[in-house]
Amino acid sequence: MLLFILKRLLWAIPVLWLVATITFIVMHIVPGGPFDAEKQLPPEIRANIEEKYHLDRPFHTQYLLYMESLIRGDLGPSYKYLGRSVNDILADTFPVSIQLGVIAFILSLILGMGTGLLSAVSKGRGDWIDKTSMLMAIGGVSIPHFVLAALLILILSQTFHIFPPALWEGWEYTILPAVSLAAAPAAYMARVMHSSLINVLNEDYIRTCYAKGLPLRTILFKHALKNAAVPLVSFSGPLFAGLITGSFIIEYIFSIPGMGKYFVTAVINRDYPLIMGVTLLYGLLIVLANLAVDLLYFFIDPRIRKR
Amino acid sequence: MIKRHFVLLLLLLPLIWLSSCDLQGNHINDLQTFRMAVSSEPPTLDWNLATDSISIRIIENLMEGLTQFDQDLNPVPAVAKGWKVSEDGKTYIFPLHNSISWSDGKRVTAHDFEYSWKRLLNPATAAEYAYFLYDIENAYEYNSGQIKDPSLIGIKAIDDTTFEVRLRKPVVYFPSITTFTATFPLRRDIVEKYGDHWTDPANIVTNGPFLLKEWRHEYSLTLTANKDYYGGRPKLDAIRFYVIGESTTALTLYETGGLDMVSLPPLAIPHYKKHSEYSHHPFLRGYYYGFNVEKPPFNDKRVRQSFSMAIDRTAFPEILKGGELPATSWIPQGMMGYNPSIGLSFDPAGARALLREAGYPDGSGFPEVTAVFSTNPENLLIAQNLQAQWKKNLGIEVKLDNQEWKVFLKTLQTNTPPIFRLGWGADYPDPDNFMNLFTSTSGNNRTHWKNREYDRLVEAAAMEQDLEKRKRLYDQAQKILTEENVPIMPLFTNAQNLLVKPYVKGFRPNAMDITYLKDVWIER
Repeated sequence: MLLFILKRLLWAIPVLWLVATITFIVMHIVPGGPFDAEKQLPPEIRANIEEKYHLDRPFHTQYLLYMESLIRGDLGPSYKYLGRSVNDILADTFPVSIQLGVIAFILSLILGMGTGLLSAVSKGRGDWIDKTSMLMAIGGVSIPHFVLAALLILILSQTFHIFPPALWEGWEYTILPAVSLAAAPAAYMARVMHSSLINVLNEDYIRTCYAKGLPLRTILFKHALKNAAVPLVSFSGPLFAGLITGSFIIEYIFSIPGMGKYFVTAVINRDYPLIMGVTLLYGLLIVLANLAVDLLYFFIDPRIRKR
Repeated sequence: MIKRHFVLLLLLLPLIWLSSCDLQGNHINDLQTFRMAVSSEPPTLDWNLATDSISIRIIENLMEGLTQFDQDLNPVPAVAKGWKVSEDGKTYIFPLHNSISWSDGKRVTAHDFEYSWKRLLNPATAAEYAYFLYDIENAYEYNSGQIKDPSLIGIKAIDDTTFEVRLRKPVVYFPSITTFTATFPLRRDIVEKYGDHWTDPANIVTNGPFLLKEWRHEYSLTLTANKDYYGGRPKLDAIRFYVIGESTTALTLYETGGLDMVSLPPLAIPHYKKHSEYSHHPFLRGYYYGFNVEKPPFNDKRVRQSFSMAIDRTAFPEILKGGELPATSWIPQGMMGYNPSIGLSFDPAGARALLREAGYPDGSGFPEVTAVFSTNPENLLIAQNLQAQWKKNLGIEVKLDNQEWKVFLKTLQTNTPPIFRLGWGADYPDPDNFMNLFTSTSGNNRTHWKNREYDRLVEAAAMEQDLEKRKRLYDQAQKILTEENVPIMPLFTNAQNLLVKPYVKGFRPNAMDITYLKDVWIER
């Protein structure tokens, strides 16, 4: 088991190296540099700046310099936010995105699994529950989160003054952005849970449970749910990594000081070290999340354990 | 049973952890707190390095330099008591107040200015706005590495209260340059002690009406009143700048009482135009289309004139609805030298006649041309309108192409399109800042247009002490630029559209979009 984890962690190194190399090459190929602006700099000043950031060196030297500092754990200075390192920027903003992401993740799990469970169980009995919850799920998947966010602000902030429309000052400020972020994954989870649970409920071993006269609650929570959750687990890993690295649009609409906006603004500004920083962090989290998913499988599904 | 409780606990744990997290900012719930939005995180508060309007807006409330603007954008003394110019116009002496202190109690001296200006010019600082001081003796040579000894630069603290600047040529607007944040004094001991972190709230030392209390990156900056400010403690206790990228979010916060002032997004302007809290102000920012004068068919100035005359500029404020001011001349309203009678006005018949003369009667035989602009909804609306006007008035079908901002800038550099859109905002409120743009040596002249007479007029105007003569020189230069040679077509100047709460008093925006808040107070 430990060997498995260690092997997977070692595999992360070449994966991240590949991510870093491809990103480094692609961002340098894209036309326009970090110091191109409406007010063009005199060549002498441009030369001073390029020297400061080693942008005057050949491409391969820049790459090697970056890799060298990366190995030391130094993500370099931001070209846009002068005097701040990418490490500083991520240390300031990543915790905020984690906070919001974790809330949204838990919310989507509760909502998604709950709805899926309810609709699957009520299928054939209370059809209206099944239909309503699946309709909501379709709505959740198809309404983009920025539309939902705007609707929530309009109704719950501007009209009824229940929640603040934006900013990041206390727990009540997390509700609207978390709901906006959680709606789509919750809806998707509900649909997956629904179909997976219906499949599991038709399995022989569940029929045996019924035959033995077990109450529905025990059948569901003790026997069916664990197996029905397997497809959810594989979806949850990348979802979790995505949620805790923030969302550009949600952070923008609610003015949340998270790191999600850098996935877009760093590219717009051609802030090379910041682009590398956020890409690598996201890459690392995806690798870790997938590892966590595999470990979870190991615990939930005895068939995998036997293999 | 235990297992079930364990699962429940596991689910609750993150929530407990989250509720203990510090989501709470330091509230200053004082009645005298002014709250406004800035559209992005200030890239730096190091005033030698700051070049963007957001950093500058914050620095302007933290710091003062030799001079500052009055309401009419004329430079007036601040840390300097005034200035004396030598007869040849090349030496400026700034005597300083000897009672102004930094926020740590030390006195502001001429040595702080000398250090700041030499740091600005030091190639190792890599400051973008070092070129602001290129008119100073040996400043260019030092910044470009031709000389290594900073003592050769024409900048000197003669004693604690006398600052001397020697220029390579007379520059009449030089005091205007000293209003600019990049030239504000700096404390060598602070910069050397804290390095890149000298602008952190715990380290920064300033001399202006407000002090930097807190900087929550990507979220907010809090400034508090400096009770030792030499001009008297400001009436506000604090200013809170919130970083709000989305303008409609800022508007929602303003409406729900979270902000005291907000800049209106264009789409919202018609809705608020009759609102009592709405106000509209000129802004020293010009919007223009340029030609690549080396590429046919725009290497023929008749074609350029014809294109400019075929535009009815009154259409733009109707499209953008932001109170834009149509312009045929280049120096914007609110600036010395503004002359709206200059430039080619709308004349479709004249435009067609010129086009015929150039060999394209009713547009026939006109080669395919593409107008290029950077991706942005405002630019798209203007481009589509221009396309329709040229089609209607000249019979010419111009293609449109939009590019992402940095890609667009690269295109301008490497392969300037035949027609392109650009803008220019004032760095300092002097016409030289606008007119210098299209001289042969300007790096910002993307039109490839070179005109010796224009260069001569702009240079002469920069040295002319007599205001009337100076205006005449700019009139002549503007005629060459917008009537005779037409490398650019000015279209309009932008405007500021604000909502300010009625309890905010003493708030006076200026055309530089610099918000001095020291005279503002709140009266509920």
